[in-house]
Amino acid sequence: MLPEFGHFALILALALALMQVVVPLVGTYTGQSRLMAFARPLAAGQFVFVIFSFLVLMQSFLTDDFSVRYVAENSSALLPWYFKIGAVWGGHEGSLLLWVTILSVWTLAVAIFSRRLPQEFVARVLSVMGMISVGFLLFILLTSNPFTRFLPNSPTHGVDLNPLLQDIGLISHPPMLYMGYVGFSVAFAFAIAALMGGKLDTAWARWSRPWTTVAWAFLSCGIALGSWWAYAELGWGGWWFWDPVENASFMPWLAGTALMHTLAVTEKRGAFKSWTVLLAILTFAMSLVGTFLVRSGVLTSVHAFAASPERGKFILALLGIAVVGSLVLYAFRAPVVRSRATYEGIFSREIMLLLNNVFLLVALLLVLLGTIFPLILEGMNWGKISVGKPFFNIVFPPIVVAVAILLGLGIFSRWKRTETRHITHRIVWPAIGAIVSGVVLCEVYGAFRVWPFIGCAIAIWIVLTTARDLWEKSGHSQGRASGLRRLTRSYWGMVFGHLGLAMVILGVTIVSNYGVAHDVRMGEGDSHMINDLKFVFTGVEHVQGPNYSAEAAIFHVYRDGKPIAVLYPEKRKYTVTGQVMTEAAIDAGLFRDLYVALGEPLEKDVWAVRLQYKPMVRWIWFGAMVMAIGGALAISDRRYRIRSRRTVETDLAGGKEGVSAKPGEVSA
Amino acid sequence: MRRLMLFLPVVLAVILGAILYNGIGKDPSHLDSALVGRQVPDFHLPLLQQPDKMVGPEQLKGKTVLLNVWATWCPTCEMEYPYLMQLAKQGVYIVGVDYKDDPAKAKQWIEQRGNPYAYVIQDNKGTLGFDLGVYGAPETFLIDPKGIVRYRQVGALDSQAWKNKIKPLIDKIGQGG
Amino acid sequence: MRWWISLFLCCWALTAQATVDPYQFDTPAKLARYEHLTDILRCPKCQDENIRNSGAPIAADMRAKVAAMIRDGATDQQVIDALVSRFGEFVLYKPRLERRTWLLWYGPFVVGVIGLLVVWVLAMRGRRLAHERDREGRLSAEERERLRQLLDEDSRTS
Repeated sequence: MLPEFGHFALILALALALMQVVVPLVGTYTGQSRLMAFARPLAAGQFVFVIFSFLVLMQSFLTDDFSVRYVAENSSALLPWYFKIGAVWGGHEGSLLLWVTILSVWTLAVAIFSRRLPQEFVARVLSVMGMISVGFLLFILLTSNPFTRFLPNSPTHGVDLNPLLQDIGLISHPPMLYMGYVGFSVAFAFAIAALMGGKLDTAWARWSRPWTTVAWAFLSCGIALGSWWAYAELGWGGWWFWDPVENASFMPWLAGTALMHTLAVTEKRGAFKSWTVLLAILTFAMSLVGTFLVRSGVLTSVHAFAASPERGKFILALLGIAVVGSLVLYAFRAPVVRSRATYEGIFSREIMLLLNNVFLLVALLLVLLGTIFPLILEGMNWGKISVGKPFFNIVFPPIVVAVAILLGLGIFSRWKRTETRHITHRIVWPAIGAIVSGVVLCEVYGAFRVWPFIGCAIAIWIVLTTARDLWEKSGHSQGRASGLRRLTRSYWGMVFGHLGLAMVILGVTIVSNYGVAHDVRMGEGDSHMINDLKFVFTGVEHVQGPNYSAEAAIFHVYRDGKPIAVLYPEKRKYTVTGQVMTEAAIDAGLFRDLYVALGEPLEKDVWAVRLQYKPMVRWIWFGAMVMAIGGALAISDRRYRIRSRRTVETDLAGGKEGVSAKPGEVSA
Repeated sequence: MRRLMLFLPVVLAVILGAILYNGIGKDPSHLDSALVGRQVPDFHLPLLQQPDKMVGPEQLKGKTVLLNVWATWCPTCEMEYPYLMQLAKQGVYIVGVDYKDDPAKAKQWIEQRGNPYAYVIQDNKGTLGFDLGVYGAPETFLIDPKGIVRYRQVGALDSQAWKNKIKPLIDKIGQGG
Repeated sequence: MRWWISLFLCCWALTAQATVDPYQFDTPAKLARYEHLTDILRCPKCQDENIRNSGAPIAADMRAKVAAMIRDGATDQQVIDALVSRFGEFVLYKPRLERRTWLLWYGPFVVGVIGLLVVWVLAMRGRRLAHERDREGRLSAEERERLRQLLDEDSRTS
């Protein structure tokens, strides 16, 4: 009975979402405040029903209700409870429900935290978010209902969750990722609302910034978690494959990073308004394209959900309406009159941030084109090719280098105008330090080679230029500590964000160039050397897990005779499906990982084994986390705090920080 | 002019949409054979029914041949089999390639289910299959009298593939195309 | 109809997990070449895996072919050609540079150059306006024009 309630709740949510679209929007056209005021309660109501539906599905999993087809396809009685929860979003239907649930969370958040925004604007924003809800709820109800039942003949047990998904990565990665994907819908809604209202001012940029930054931070975490999960679970020690689904998550991230930076310009200087709005639309469009690619079956990927042409067409229609519709609105309503060009010269901060956008969008174009190129060729009947890792690994690094160098230069730039001397004066020591460090790091890890040198050098370059700027800006008559305290959270956010990037670049460079992987035959008692590490295969034991049985090999690792680690890679056989899976053993370290994965047993007590040494691999994910912390710092800045009622009223009376137009001042 | 430029994103979005729409419904894992238009690769393998007789590509020349790559361990081959029998009864000349299989099992298979093949080439190690670019049995190749590969069917041969792709080609070959 | 056939064909390659297939070569250089080639060649029937890591039987056959050719002294290009001639361009993860892939290899770069030019023009325009402003002490010709447009729009909308 309960699943039916869950289904019904979704229908009610759809009804409320429809009202959320129509009622406030009508209010904005007729100027009726009462109608516009409906937006918030409708959003809250929709949230209640969606979350109820989500919890019902979760409950069906936890109680092993195999009469629900989705539960039967993704779970089993033996599955540990925490994986049952993860299994809720382990398949297509459930993950869509997660998508919609997170959308309703964001919508509610916007409804709650927008008290000081003009009512008309909020009405439009919530209406647009309602449109997205309607689209996805329709998609679920018409093509991907998680509550369909096997009645009257319900199976007595489920087919179990795919063993690859039985990992903590499943529990954390999709929710984080979706918080990011879906979070960009807020910036999108803000942009559409601004276009609808015909009012594109710096206030709009200021309101959009925190929402964009939060979504970006979540997406950064989500992508990092996905990478880490693939590394831990798939057994080949790789952390990024340029698989279409991975690219689908990376594209909104690139666009979102560009958006974050350009919002800063628009907020502070009022420049590039049209461009920023376009970017907000583009970022969410990339989220939707990603959703499409993963579920439509047009591209092969190990990550893709079960696809069907009907679903593909439906999402494409959704995507089409949302993107084309918003771009048409943009074409008609974006301001044509040029904003006042207040910047001068190539080293003004405005121009440097615009350059940042150019590079990031070239990166985006590279990833997008690489991902869909096989589709393009096939569409023209020009044959079938593949575009994979080798392509991306050739074209992508140069762009990263460009971005990194620009970062170091741009950090010293000033708004409006910067003398060239101001920058050149400050980059000499960081440049020298970067080059020297690059050479040193290469030597430490192995031999000097061009690309690892460049990668290390640019990472250190970012660190040194950031440090230099920090040192300069924290200078204070009352001492360094006082100066540091005076720096805004926003500034610290930037520092962390850039340092995080440097960490990622360093990790990627070193592990890609100096990581070692050997496939060897090993019998019990055999040993193998990697660099100065000795891996000894000492034996195999039998292990019993909750829903699997396994052979666990025992590896001792020594350096210069001293024991470093003991690793237990497993070959598991899952009870319900009979599927065999390898579980790699990892000795995680701050500066290196040791990684052992079992292949097939070749003879009695002789196994094929992959041994790996992965220097600095964790820095990739630590770096992403540092970036996300930067985002969190930025939005905790004082100016985004919820202000008291009094200050709000003073604001609205006109005067402070360009909230609304003064008489005579045009806001476009 | 500037207003016109603002429509550029719409145009690009529509193009992207068209590309994505085009991809829906197509099977992304389906591959066309790299051998189409080229000679059957060289091989030197025994026959299943006469293990001391060796054959090569010359054997396949002279008539239009359906070369069917199959194995006893392949469930889809079992599904395809009745249709092959049907085609054989209609007079279609089918040559089998027993791919990476046990000859004894293969013989038993044919005995039990009937023999649609004019003869079966025994490809124990799968070298012919590999050279043909076989990546998943069953696969069926259409070879013309000159020994040139004209078409490859991946997966079970069914009436749809026969009617739409293979039969028209056979007719074309018959008319000298 | 076709999707379940693919499912059947894939019925022995159930997971995306790595396969470990140790090969011995007489020189480390040859081993490195083997690892590189199997890294950039794609398994024709898997869901986006290279032949190095794929567990499918056809991937194993391809690995064996690569190893055999390296031992026989073939160059990297010869190995690639051998596999492409059998399985098609699809098995190459690095698209060849030819007319039909120009868009892929050059496109984003061209867009980037255009972007840089646009930014350059904007920067120079900014500088020019600033000089004009400084010189004239009041609005430049362009800014006067802009003011007129703004006032027009303002009177239309408010």
